[in-house]
Amino acid sequence: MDSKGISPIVERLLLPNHLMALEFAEGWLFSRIVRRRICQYRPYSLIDSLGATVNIAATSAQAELRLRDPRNKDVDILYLKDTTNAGFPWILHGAIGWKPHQIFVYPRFPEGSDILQRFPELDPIQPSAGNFTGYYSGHESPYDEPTDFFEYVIPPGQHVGHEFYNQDRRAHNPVANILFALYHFQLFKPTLTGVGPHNRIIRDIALRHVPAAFLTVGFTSKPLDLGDKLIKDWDVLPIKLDEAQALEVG
Amino acid sequence: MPPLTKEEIRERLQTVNVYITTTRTPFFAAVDERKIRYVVAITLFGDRVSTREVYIEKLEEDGTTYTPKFDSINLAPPEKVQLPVEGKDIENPIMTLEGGSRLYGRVSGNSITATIEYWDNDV
Repeated sequence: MDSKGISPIVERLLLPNHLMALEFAEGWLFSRIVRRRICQYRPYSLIDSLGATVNIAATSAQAELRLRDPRNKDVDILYLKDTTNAGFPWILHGAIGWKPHQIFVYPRFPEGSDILQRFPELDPIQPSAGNFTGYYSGHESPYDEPTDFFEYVIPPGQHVGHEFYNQDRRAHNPVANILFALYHFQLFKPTLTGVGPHNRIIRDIALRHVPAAFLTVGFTSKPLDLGDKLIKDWDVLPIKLDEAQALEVG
Repeated sequence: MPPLTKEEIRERLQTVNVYITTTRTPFFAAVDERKIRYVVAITLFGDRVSTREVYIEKLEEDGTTYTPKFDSINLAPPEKVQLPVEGKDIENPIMTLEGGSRLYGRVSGNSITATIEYWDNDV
């Protein structure tokens, strides 16, 4: 799939000491992965908020659901409650493979928001009608090899919702392979006036002088807000790329 | 995107049992325009009374032209006939039906049952 710019997510996950730039609505954060841990839930059989198995009838829709832990239905698997952990900020990065492939999956990120995984001028996506756009399926992101067709970058405090439509003439329970990396990372703090200890590495990332992953948090046309709580707890100020490139390094 | 995997094709396989009469009987409704339907196998079951002749025809998209596909299949009373006779293969269909076309069966003398297996190139 590489030739078309869609890759298995395992080729996109980062390793310790890799550099990472995160785009939020307010601007960019620059960081280095300190620790990484692979988190996988496979097979994950979709359940509803009551913990009951979801069996979607033929050519029918399933309203928005969080991916809840079948062992404790109150827990959203893809949710980070605390803003930091073990001394560092953390974030989830990964993808989900689905089966059977006749199930269309419509992600809402954050939950309840508009589905922006579409051509920009299109009318809003209607998962309940099984729209042929705005979705991904097990064909694009296979169960055995989840791809970055829809790449999740989930900061603390955000829930992800999914709607479903079964295109088949038989009922199906969607089954997922939830494959993520949980990064603990060191944030580089820019000094906008004068020379700062992290200015050089930030500028080098922004200028592409050093290899770094660029990840957008949320949909590309509407990155998520970093928000006051994360700005405070992470003790960092997001900046524009132009500002990063122009940082004074002495 | 990559072509369908064999597993995905297996997941799409549909099996339909039809009672074919002495007049043209559809195996299914017209194929959706956006799809191509691949017929993997047709199995015909004798009526245990007398030898019958079975005709399988495709109704073209124009809605009026019937094209014979399998003509005068001789079906002895206690037997079954499977098409293809050399063994089915989901990746090598015996027939391809484009969107808007239909498939019909017809029998001489008396009704029989038939099972058709197929998959569509799109969901």
